[in-house]
Amino acid sequence: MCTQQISDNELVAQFIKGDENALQKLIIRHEKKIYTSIYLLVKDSDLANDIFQDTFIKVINTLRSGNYNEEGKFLSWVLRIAHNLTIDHFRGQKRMPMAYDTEEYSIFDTLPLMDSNVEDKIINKQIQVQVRQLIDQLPFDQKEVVIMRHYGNMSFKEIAEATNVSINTSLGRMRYAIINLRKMIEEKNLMLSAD
Amino acid sequence: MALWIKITPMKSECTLNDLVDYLYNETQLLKSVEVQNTIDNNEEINEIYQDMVAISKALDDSLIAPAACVRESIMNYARLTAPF
Repeated sequence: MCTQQISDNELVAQFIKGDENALQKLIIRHEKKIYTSIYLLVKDSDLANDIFQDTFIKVINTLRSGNYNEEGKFLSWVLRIAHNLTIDHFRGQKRMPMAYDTEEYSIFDTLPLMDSNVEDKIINKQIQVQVRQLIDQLPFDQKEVVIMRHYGNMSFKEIAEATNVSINTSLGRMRYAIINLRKMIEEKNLMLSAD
Repeated sequence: MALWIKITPMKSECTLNDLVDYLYNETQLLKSVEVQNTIDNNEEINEIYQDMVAISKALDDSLIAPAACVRESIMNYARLTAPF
């Protein structure tokens, strides 16, 4: 059976015509990448949830006002809104995000897990937390490129334009981010997968 | 008359930026072939590229979802403000 996924553009068009289910599909499709991008910058789950909500309120209003003209780049567009709202938040606070550790992982999270691969699940969850902490320790410009390229699906050209640098610089920042992540993984002796 | 065909060995060099570009599918077709050839034939480059792939996978695995009530709030806003 052929189950072809409806494109973002089609869902956007359906929502503009009044189908709210289309919006729900778009949120479900992209929420993890958008939320993780915000969370990695603000490092606070409540604040990240607030900015995520504000982002989609802006998305809804813009789509309904007929000002959306991104053509096939829905996720990148939403990510830019989220990024701008995050920057606005820190401007309001007159400080940029600092690197501090927050522990999203709680041992209580593991209590309901009683199946045979419980150990793998605990290890994988720990790895996920550690990877986020490693991203957190990257210099801001490298972290920004990781978020925009990896989670935002923006091309290096688009990142270069958004951050006012050359394509080579944005590529170089991603390269340094990967090298730094690799170094930190080695220093901390982390295994990247429990498989 | 002998037919001479000059066989040029495949260039087996690529920069780390090329590998990053390739990892994210942003290389042009010809460059992709060149990079893949280098990955296949250069052990050191292959190891670096496999590290990049592993890190990329770790980044994918570290995704987190917003609170379920946030999605519900957004949908409520969409319904309440829907034009008639």
